[in-house]
Amino acid sequence: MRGGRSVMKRGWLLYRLLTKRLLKRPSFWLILFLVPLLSAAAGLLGGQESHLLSLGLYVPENGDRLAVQVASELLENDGAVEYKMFDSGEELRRQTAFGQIDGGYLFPEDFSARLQGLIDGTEDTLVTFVAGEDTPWLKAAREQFFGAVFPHLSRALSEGFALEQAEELGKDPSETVMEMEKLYEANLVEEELFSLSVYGQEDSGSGQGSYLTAPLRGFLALFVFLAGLAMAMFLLKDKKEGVWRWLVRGREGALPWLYILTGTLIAGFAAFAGLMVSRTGGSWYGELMRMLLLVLAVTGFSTVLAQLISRPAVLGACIPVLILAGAVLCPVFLTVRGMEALQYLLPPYFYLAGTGSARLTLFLALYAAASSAAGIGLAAALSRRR
Amino acid sequence: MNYFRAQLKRAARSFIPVFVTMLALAAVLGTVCVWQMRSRLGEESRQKLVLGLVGDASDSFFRLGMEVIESMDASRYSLEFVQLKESEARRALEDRRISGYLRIPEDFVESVWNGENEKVTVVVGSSRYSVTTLLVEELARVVSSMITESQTGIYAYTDWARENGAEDLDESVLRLNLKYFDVILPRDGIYQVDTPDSRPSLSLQGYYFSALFLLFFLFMGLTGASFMIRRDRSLYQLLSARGRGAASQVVSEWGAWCILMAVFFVLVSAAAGAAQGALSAVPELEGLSPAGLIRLFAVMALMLPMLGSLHCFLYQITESLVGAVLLEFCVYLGLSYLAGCFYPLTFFPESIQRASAFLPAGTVMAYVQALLRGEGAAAPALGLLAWTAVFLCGAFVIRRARILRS
Repeated sequence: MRGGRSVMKRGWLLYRLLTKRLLKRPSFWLILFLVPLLSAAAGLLGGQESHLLSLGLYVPENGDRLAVQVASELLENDGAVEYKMFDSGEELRRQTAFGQIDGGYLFPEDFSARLQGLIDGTEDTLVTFVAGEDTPWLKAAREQFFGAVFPHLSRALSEGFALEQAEELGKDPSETVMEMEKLYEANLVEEELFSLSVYGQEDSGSGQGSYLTAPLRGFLALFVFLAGLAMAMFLLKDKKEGVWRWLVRGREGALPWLYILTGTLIAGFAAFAGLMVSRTGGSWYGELMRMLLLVLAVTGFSTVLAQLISRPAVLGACIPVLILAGAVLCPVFLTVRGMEALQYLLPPYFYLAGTGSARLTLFLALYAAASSAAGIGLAAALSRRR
Repeated sequence: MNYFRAQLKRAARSFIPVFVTMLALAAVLGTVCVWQMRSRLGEESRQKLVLGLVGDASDSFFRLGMEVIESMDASRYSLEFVQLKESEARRALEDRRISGYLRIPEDFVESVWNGENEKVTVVVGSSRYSVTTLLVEELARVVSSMITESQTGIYAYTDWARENGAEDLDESVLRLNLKYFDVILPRDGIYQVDTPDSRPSLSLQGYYFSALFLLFFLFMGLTGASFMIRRDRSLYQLLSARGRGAASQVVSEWGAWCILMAVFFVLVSAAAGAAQGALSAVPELEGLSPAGLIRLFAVMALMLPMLGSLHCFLYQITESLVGAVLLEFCVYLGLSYLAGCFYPLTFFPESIQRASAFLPAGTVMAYVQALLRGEGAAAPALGLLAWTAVFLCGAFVIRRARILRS
């Protein structure tokens, strides 16, 4: 009992000593402040007006009312596509050619007539779409255009159909048009048919942000991962320079794990602060819990690595590779499929993939426990052998 | 000169570890690229957005609708639907096998017939603001408009037909439905696509070519820790006492590091040149003769002194290994993000796009892109020189302060 208390006391003393050693350096403080500061800046960036695509619209001066109406509806759209009005079709084409905009729509002078022709089957096309390269984004943008045109198309289609019937019934066409307009207005369904829900965040609120801040969580997880790896390299350097022997007299046990935990935990708090100030995270308690699990998982992983690799230079060479592997294989920007065996080895994977998933958060906890146990066990076994 | 020679020797000693690291970096990138390309090319569902369908899809009209969407709709090339149980859909979403799923309420079709419109829930992954989620959201809005507007049109006609005593209403409504299908399903054909002839703007491949080069040599700074960090500062003082001041020390170290970077640049360029297939994927490089390629890569190398000076400067700010590595990581990530290495720069607000051109990494991107487009690159080249001077001056000031302080 007394022995156990003494080990704990020694561990706590070492932990405080190492933390103090890190925090004594102004450069470490600089980084700790830099992370939330950069995250906050990224959060502000996400709040600014930004778009995935920029598309031009050109309606001829003598273009009809319907074309103007559709163009104004598109201009009012504040989604992923930004629309700009052009005075000439040539300018729109020129800007597309020079890559200043992604493409655009050239409305014909007889837009309404063409719309009717489309319904009657006498016309094939409605507008000219100018684009350099047809990307999936542009295809999605065209759906948005169709979404703006469709209410007018639908109105014309049902009216036209009623007019066909009116002829058979011997009804006055203008009267039919008026009746149909009234009935269309009366039956208008304005409510959206779809409601959006974020998986795992149905109750807790999903935070704020934009696609620009979407990779921030991944960046912060990689930062914590890097802190753990850097601490492991620091540990190997201390071992090489004999500082470690002076600090640890006797068996190592959990001390290497504790050593790596000092810096990783501080980095974890900085990352957590970054997540909160950028307002991209969910509830603070959920984020804090997941961040602590990530810190433990990274500490365990780095401890194992520090036991398997003895030369700081070799570990130093591994760090950029591991970080790149983390950036590519963990869902920071991409979703890589078919490499699960490698992905599961990297601590940020379960943290990033498991946001909002109890199952994957449990896997993260299991990973943290298993890697920490492996690290501590390896350190103890190697220390005994020495 | 002696100090520079000593630094060159140190740089040469760092060659093997840096080479191994860079090789491993290239191997990781290459493996993932090849793996992804193979698995994508092998699938027909390349670039398709996969959505799950959960809930009451038993209705025959609903099934028919889904079949029509999958086989005849304009979206069939970009969307794929899979019928799943809710637990399976959750699992697939967690594993990122699907981009989201639609939860269809019970008696959905009946509610649409009756105009009550039970809401379909679109469940997206936790990356709420990812580009994919935005696409799903936009598509849901458009589909919603198509369904509700069609409903409105059909109900308006039905009411009119009833009021006017039209016969065979059921058949008429069916015909009207088919007319709607005729308009909706081939909707991608309503555009006359016009591609402007001359297009001197950069292709997507060219864009990512410049981003990859920048990332590779920007992050090379992380491998320089053993070369740049010196715990024992007495050497600096000793050198200073012997007349080799801070400026000379910094320039010697920077020069040696730049030479090491240049060696890697030659290796990377040679490897890229050897892999003709990889380079031919970049339209701007297609058809370039070997001499033309060598000339292009040689001019591109002007980015190295600036990136080398940035590496030197950052290693001067921090003295500790952990601090240096973390600081470098934060700065490189931030700069490359703002330069548009991860998202195309056009995705950013205009103010950021303008500012990016003046930031170090943005200047490199502008320089390489100007070269790829075959345009004059004098302005970004001047920017590179200016940043090199700024970083070297910064490194000099810090080194001098250190020498004086100790």
